[in-house]
Amino acid sequence: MGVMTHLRDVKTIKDKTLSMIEPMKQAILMLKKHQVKMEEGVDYLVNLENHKTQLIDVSERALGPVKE
Amino acid sequence: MIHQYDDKKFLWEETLADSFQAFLDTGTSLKENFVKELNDKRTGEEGEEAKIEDDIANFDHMTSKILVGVVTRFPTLELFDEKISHLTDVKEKIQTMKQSVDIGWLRVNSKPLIEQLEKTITSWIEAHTKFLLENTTKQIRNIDVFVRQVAEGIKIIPEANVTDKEK
Repeated sequence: MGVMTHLRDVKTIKDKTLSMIEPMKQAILMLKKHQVKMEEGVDYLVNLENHKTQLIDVSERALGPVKE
Repeated sequence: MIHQYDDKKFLWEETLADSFQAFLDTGTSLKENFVKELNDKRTGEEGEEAKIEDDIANFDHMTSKILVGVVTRFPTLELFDEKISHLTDVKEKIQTMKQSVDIGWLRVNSKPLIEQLEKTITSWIEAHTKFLLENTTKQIRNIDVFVRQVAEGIKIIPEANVTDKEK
């Protein structure tokens, strides 16, 4: 896959993907409220926050600073 | 005695698969929600139609990366919460039911029925929670793959920029 394809991908996908992080966090919080067992040793809330940071970071590297 | 089962009769009158699918179908798809959001923000200004088309194309592109294998039509989180809470209430009621009842000289042992109902209601609760958990974790994995692919794919950019400046 070419560099231009990655740049296009991150440009077109970044904003919508970032906006989906919060609803995903809410889903995990709701499942925790109902005491749903999750994979041992994995904190999906931390995981989501890390992915958010990584996506912003990779977008900035690819396109420049991301507006939030 | 039979009336104590009235609020639990859905457990044998409906199948889990059909009921859960019907529940999912009451929701709107992520794309429908997105298009509605765009339409609600319409101002009628020039070029708006083209921008909306672009936004929808971008959404479709995002779907092909981040929503691979993800179910995109489902009810709101509030409705899931309400449904899981209701099923949990029914489970608690089942757990507190009397295991034997005397009707005149007859003693009815309800224990096997109660145990079966408890197993059934647990599988109903799990169907709802498992769906949400799996759908969410699939999205997390897809984001992870996407970020890694882009990070790997753009490694070449800084070198190319330096080379251009040097030229």
